[in-house]
Amino acid sequence: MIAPGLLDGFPALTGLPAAARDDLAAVARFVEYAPGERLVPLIRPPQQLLFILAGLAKLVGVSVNGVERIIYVFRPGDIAGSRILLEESAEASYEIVAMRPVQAVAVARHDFVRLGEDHSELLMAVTKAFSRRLTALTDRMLAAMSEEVRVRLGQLLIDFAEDDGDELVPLSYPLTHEAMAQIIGASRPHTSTVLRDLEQMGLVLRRSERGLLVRPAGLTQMVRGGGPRIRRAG
Amino acid sequence: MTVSVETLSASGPLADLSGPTRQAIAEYAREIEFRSGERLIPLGQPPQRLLILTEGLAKLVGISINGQERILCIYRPHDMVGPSVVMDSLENEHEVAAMSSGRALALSRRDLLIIGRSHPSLIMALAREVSRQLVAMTARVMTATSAEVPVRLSQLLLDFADGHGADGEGFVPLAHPLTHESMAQIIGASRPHTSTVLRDLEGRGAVQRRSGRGLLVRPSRLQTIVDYGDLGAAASTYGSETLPLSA
Repeated sequence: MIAPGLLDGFPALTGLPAAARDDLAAVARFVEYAPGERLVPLIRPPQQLLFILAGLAKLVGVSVNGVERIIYVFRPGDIAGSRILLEESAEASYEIVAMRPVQAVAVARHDFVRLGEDHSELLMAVTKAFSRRLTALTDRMLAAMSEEVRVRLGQLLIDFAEDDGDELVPLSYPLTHEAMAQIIGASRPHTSTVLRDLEQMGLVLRRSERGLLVRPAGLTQMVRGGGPRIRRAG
Repeated sequence: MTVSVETLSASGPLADLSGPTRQAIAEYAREIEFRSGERLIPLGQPPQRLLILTEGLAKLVGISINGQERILCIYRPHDMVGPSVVMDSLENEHEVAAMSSGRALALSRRDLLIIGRSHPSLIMALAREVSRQLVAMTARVMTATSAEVPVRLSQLLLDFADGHGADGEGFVPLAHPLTHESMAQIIGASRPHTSTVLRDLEGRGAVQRRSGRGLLVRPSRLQTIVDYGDLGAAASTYGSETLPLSA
């Protein structure tokens, strides 16, 4: 059991009726993971939903040629463990691993299903959070199919920028060159080279007291090729 | 056109719902027909209805930075189209268009929310479908970021191989025909390169391009290519048996 206040400010649960939040708190547990620790291990299906309160965790897969790829980065406000809802306990060749210390609220599958029968608003809130992740993953899929590493890296930096103006701003969460490379599907050296190119274009500043700084508006213009992003399919 | 409870019983993700829930859905849902090329969910606005395909194919389309149309997902019969209908706001940069004529069950966002309040199992079915689509999209992103074009194409052909006999050594047709152009848009390659790779796959005995039943695929051979992650490495497992069976 956790204090209901622990879930205050959790974006997906904003507007949830007090009774639903109290019942959720009654069955939830507070959990912490150290960097490198597995939130959801390989192969075994997840047994609980995790409402991420703080930290970063990566959804990781390993390709047949042994390359680790980061498919998605869970941030505070995300809900991990969506596969608990699938009836068939599909094995998965992915795992979720803490990149930085993670604090989360865990709810077991059977508790969540039971709560959902009494509180459709809770089910709806979690479904919306999963839908947002599906949309983000779909955007990522489109970026992955763009042939230019520069564009893929630009999109990643926009996604992680703290703000969206024309000023240089830090990333919300620092990412190593290695992590960036694993997310965009490029080699680490190539990623560093492209970062240097972006710095020469005035779109990033690699070494500052606040770490890597990025210029979101300029990056957006580069990613969109100077034209509107939304275009009708033929 | 109104929908019968029997139709819902055969509609994949809603089939397991209780009788009263299906009855409630049947009162609100409509059956729609669409033609090839018709936009089922338009660009720029969040979906206003949930669709469950009963016949035909539809594609989720995005436009890449360099202006190329990319197919991000293909919906087949029993798939839910537009599960993000539950979101209050969404800058929708993708659209869903029909790839063939077909039919679907349609439930408006408003009606979905009304039914969901008294029948939470409908929302649970939707959550499960979103979860299933998350798993599928995760696998696609993994393939797109780590595999070469022959492997991506082999994976696509495996996904579309007709289920009957797909585990065997023989050739089977695709459950739904795909043009070279569509395949190219799905795997993120050019159309000419896709055709070249198809020819290479035929040379490895993994597909047969021209037959009375259209493109035929050999799932066991395609699976080997996917497992090895390399056309050449997979070929070495077959030794000299790399000529197409059609030769």
